[in-house]
Amino acid sequence: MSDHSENSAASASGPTTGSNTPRRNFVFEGATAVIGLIVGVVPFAAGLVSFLDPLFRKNKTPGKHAKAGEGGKTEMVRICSLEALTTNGPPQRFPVITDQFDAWNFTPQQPIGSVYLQRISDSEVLVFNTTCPHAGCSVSCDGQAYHCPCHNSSFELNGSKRESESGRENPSPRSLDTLEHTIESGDVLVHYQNFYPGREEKKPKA
Amino acid sequence: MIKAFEQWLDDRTGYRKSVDEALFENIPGGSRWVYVTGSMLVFAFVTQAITGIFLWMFYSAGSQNAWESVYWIQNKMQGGWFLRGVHHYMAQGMVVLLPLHMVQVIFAKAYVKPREINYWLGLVLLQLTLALGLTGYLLPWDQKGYWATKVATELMSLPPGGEYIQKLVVGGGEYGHYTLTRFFAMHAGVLPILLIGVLALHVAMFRRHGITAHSSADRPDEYFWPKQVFKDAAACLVLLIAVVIIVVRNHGAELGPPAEPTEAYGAARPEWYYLFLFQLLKHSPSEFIGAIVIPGVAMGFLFLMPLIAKVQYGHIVNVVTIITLLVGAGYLTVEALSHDSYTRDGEPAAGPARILHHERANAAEDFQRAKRTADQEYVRLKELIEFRGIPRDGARAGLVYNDPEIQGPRIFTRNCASCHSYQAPPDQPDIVSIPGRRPDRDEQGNVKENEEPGGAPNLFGFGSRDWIRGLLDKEKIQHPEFFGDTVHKEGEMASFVQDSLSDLDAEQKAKLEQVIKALSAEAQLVRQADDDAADDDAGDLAAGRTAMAEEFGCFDCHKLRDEGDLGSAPDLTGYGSAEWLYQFIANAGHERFYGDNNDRMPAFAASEDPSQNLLSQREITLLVRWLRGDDKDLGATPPTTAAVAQENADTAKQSDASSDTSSETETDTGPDASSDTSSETETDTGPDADSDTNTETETDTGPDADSDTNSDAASDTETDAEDANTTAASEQDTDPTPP
Repeated sequence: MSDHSENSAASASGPTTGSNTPRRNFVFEGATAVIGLIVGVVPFAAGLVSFLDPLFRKNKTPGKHAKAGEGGKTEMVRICSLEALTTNGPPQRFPVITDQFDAWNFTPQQPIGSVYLQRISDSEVLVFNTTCPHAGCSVSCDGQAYHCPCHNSSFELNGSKRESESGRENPSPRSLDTLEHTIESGDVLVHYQNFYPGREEKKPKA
Repeated sequence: MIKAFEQWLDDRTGYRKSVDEALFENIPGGSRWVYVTGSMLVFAFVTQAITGIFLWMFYSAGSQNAWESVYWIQNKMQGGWFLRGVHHYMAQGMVVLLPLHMVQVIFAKAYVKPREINYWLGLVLLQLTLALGLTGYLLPWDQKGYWATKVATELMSLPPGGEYIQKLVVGGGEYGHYTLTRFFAMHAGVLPILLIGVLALHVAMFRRHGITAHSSADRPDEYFWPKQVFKDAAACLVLLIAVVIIVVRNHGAELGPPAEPTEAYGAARPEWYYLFLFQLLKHSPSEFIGAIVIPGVAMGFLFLMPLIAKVQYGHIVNVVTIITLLVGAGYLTVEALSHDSYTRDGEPAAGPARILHHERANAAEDFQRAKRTADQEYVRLKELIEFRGIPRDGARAGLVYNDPEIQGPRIFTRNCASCHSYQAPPDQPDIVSIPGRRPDRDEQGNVKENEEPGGAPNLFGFGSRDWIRGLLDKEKIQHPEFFGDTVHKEGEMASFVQDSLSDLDAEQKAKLEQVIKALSAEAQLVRQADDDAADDDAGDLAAGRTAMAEEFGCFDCHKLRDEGDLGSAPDLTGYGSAEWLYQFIANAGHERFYGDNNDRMPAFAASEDPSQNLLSQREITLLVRWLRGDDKDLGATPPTTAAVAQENADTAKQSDASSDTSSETETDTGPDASSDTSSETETDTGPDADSDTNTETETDTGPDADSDTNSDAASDTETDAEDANTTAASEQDTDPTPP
């Protein structure tokens, strides 16, 4: 019984109370403490190793045949055609549709996040992650600015953090997160990434 | 510093007194190794609690997630196999220790006054542990756990009012999500909490009464600490090491293919420690007696033992009875195991013993085959998952349901094995053979000579060169491997092989070999493609076809491409190809095949109304792909539902082209059926990992469109079929869900 021996390891090193304390037998006491530690630690360690799995899991594990994800950094996702966006029109919100990995499930072509696109010239598009860099809520846009419904962060249409106008604080530590993108054969392709909120630097989540 | 802290702590908690009470309990007669079982059980339970809570973090109860999450634990989670293995085998350790602990208590007469209540609490702990084992067995939701547990819950309905108990336990009339959620809540919540509560009482009461033993001069009393604690700890270490060794050797606990409620599982057995109950049921005159009365009486006796001990010789009766019960359970366990490993060797003398012998051998054969098949299915499924991940609707609906290598043998066993066998040659022991019809036996257990033929050819490697070589061998064609058990044994083909292919000179033999190659090439076997191509380049195939015409006169009866006519023997055009085989299975009595000479081969899909057919298009397609071995190697041909549907489209179209008589509406049925389902599920690109790799635009021009235009003009069919070949992949999420 592990708990007995662990308790007793403590009492073995300190003074034992009571007048009926038996003669010490350090060999048994030491061995018992060591064995008790082993039998207690092994099951717990076995669980801990698995519990820590998310920290060590680098690559998503799709089937080999399932495309997507490998070295996800270079993966560009088609969002929409450039034609669909009016130049200098209001920002439009689009889902990002790509293959999804959720523990054991692999599901192709799922919405995994969303972006705001605003076409600002014939060939230029602004692309923002809709996640608020303050605390991770989802921002919305009224055509004049981006607003976060949670803690009143707000951003200009160009994504920059708005300075307080009405005296209300803007808690966001940085501007809206822009995303890498290209325009290829008339399509807007985006490299979708999420970033850690609540800090000034824009650090991508692995 | 430490002393000061200890003093501080003791002032507030008084822990020293408790620790001293625990450690310096007097053991009359000193420490003994036999006392370790209780501590070991507590240790095992603590291990179960720790590993169980960790497993809980990864397990998902639900019929589309349970197996999948356990699969992930077992195969993908860092150290998951070890964690699950420790949990699995430590549970068995508990079941081994429980009777040891009980026997020790009874032998030491520690169950009588004043310890009756503690003894009863121990029996409650026994029941709780067994219930934990039963509920835990189901949670992986694999075939083994599913069927074993199903039997147990079915038997629950036997006693009066049992129907209600069963419904409550199962969470409804049938197994499903609620069965898992309930079992999981019982396994991880209710039962452990009860167990901890009863265990606390059990230990407290043990402390109150102390050890039963008496001191003697040569064995002085000792305190619990340190020697007994050392012995307890050492025993726990031994248990742990034993469990770890077993876990490592078996690479964790077994996991079978996912539960399949529609598929009989021939290896349904409870966990080994329940095998004696399983075996008892085989011997019992009725289920009620075997499953309820006898175990109930035995359990009742165990509960009454402290009272029985009060009468004279009562204790001896108890000891004898407990030994009898354990020996009986052990005997039944061994008997169950030996029945499952029974072999056909050593046939006894004719008579009832011989009948029994063969019945047992049949049962054991079926059991072992089911086990091997399940293992093979799991391995295959693992390949599929590595290849394309697990779709959202689960491994069963998303992978198993549409995989030829898994479904093929299942469909064959259900629909074909009453006549055909699928028997691999001895040099391929990895392939699980399916026996065909077993010989009839008379009252003496001797094989009956069949007046009527009752079998059909072995279809292993059908269409391959080896298979055709066997068919054209005079030694073999009249053997049950080929036509021996059919009316064709005495047919024209058999006599042709006997007469005309028996005394060939070397040149003729070479020509026959070319015929074999040419005919086998008609099958377009994926696995033989390289050989076929090479021999085609070498001119062997053309030479073989010439020899068929000029040397052997095959086209006197058979048709091959432009030679010969239909009507007297099966068409050899595309013999053994996916399309040929599909149509043959659909209707072997068709003019293109055996016509009026058809033996007993049922028409599995002769009707244009799918509801009238024995097998669906999907089933026949899966069967054909498996028989041909098209999908064995995942790298060569992705085993996609797309491929299946493509095949469907192909065969339907080719049938269109080949059967001139069929009307437009008739030809429509096949592709329509498939395209309907596919269009419905088009938006759900979910389960089809492969199809998504095609661009979305393809979905508009796939077989869907083809099948619509299909019936318009016969001349279109060829190009349509080609279209289907190149673009089909995209939306064939046909039949994503089983019925």
